[in-house]
Amino acid sequence: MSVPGVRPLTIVSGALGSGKTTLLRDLLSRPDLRSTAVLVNELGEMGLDHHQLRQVDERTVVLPGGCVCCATRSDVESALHELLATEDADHVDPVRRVVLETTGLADPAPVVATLQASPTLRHHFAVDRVVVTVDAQAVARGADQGPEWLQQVVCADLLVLTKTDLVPSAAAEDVAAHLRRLNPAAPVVSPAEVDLATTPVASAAAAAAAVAPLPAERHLAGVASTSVTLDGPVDWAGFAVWVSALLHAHGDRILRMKALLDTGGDGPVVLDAVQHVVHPPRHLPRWDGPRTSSLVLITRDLPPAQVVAALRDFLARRRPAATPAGGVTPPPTPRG
Amino acid sequence: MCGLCGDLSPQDHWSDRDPGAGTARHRHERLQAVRTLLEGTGLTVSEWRGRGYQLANGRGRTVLVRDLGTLWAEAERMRGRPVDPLEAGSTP
Repeated sequence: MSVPGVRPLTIVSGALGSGKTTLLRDLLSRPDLRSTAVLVNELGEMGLDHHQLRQVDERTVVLPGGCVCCATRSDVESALHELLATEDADHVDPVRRVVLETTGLADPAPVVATLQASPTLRHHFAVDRVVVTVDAQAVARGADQGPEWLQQVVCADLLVLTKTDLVPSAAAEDVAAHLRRLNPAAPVVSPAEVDLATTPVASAAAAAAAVAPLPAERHLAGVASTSVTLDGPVDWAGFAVWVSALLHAHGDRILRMKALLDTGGDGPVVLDAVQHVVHPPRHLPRWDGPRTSSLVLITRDLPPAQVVAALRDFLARRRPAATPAGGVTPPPTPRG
Repeated sequence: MCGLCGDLSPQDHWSDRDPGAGTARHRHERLQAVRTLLEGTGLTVSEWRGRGYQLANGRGRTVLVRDLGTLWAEAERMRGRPVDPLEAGSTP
């Protein structure tokens, strides 16, 4: 039996009682998610009848000398290795996707780090998006959601607003606007609008574009966000060098960075960093939207405008001087 | 060392997992970008056999590093504080 290439791993997270299980049940009932393996914390509580259900217990391992956000999830690593071993033994059909349900207290970043740290797993699985359920009623009534909630919201690629029927529509809109300001990289959708078949990059770009006019705002616990466009094309080598230095010097204050860059090629380059953990850059074959470089930045105790200004200054210094008007244009290189 | 330095997988900094990272042109552009950030720090950098960087502090100390993650960590060790791109950005 042939084993597919790199398969998407979707993380579904959210506070206790925010509707994760309901969302999962709905998603797994859809025909396009039939060949999906599901890793859950509590088998009994799920009430799911799914042939590829496995239990994980959220064992987080901090690597020697590593910081907490770069910890890895040994339980996820074991479960995915087991999945591969089962497929190799030809006992089951290969899965097309993995969905990992985490508790409301779990930080999604270590899962990303787990796949990157494993020479085997990163050739088989890649985190395609982090889906976070948010209880509109709890947020609207101002219930303390805790630091873990904030962490999950800034890590999200898709925010699913649940229980909107329990609050006035204006209150639900306010909650959605609050979430967009907290994390401009993540579209805010209803459970019915969740579609794992869409490309997360396109939806992230749409989300960023939708909130671009909003000024940077200071939020909970010193967290601030901004969404800006960059004059393109962007010097990709310079951008990567600058980001690597930024994360070294200020990684603990950069909660999230998501960039969709016009580097002069046919398609955009996508760079996504969740705290210190940076996804490998992706070169997409084409643009689905306007050819515009965009950057979403979520910081803690660091004004995002300062980061953006420094980046723009660096890129401007790296940019070759423009050819003066009337300057000599080099002759085209002869073909052949 | 942690993920920000790329050392979760010691041979693979995230910037080296870019499909175009291995080309001579990309390496050259990256080196020039590193030099821009090192301006005014007292440190210099050159490419080392196409596989890494040679970092020097002008007082005779030279260190070989394999990628950008270890480069910034070593630069911090050599000068006693990190190379801060936010400071560099505010320099006229």
